Amino acid sequence: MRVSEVIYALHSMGFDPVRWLVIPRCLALVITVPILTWIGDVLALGGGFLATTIASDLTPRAYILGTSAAISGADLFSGLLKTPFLALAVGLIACGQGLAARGGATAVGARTTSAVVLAIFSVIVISALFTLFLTLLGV
Amino acid sequence: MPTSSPHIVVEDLRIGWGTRILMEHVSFAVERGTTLAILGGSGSGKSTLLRYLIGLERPMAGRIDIDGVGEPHAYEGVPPYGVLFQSGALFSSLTLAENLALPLTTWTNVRGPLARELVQAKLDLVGLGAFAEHLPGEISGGMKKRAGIARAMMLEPDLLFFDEPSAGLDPISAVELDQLINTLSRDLGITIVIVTHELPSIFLVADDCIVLDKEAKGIVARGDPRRLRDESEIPFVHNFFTRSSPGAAATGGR
Repeated sequence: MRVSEVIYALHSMGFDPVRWLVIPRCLALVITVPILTWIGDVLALGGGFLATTIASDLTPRAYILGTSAAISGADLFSGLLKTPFLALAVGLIACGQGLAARGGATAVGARTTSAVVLAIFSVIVISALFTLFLTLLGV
Repeated sequence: MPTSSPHIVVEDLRIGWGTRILMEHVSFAVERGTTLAILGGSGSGKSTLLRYLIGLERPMAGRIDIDGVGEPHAYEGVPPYGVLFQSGALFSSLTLAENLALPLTTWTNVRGPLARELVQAKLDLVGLGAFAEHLPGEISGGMKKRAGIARAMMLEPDLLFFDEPSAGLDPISAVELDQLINTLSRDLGITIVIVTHELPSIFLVADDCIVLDKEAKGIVARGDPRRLRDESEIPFVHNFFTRSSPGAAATGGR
């Protein structure tokens, strides 16, 4: 953000803020969000397994068979496929709003709110487009 | 390039945003090896003018020419000048030594022990030799500013810009910083442009000054700050240097 003058400092030293600030953050998101999604999927399935077998009469075998029948590899693949794009959108929106923040702490708060709203909206739109695209492909 | 030519020439500068003009007809020159103070009240555009001088903004009209740089906003590569921002603008996740090493290792082939030695020399110069491994969050505001000066000097520029270096500092830290600025200017011959409204700093470090006024949208006075204090008949300038309120004369107060 420009509020703390760090971006001005980068400019004044001849550094390109996009190369120094935006690209590393977007790259980190594109790499880590799919990994986090995969971890989230595993935890959700494991948590479902524990909750179901502890809280109900369903046997572990029945849970595994039922889950295997309901979720295919294509579901996991389609879920992971879009995550780098979602990560890139979130990263670009957050960095764009951060770079545009001027005028003190109030501006930082306003830009943070804008970034969250825009990021949520972009995640919904991109997810919808992927769903449409994958449905057309029959995945 | 002859050394007698001005280090910075500003001619008929007009700056602003959209249709709003912040200041116009701004012309001045900064002689090599001198310290120019940009003065004015809050909101007069001092820091904004500085941003134009260091090329962060493109002027609406007019010309800024820095010797060896040309138009600063069009300059590509490593600017041959250093800038101290009001907050110090150090990178919070890097130690002071790493902050100082960044421009050096990015723009030169200096690495390893020699880089560490040069960084240490600059930290010693600003009195922070013992704080090389501290993070910016672990030192005081005055120390951050001194570290910012050291970083601005890492590539040995002959021109430095300071944005309100004494702002927010206690009197002792402010005087120490002023003395450091004097050392840089008088002992090392560095040209300095300093934005401030701290009167003690102005009289201690500035050879020359320009006074900005937001009502006039430009420069209302130019010259030696001591002479302006003693001789200027412009009400705003007189009030500025004598810390008088505009209504003081009418009420008989100071």
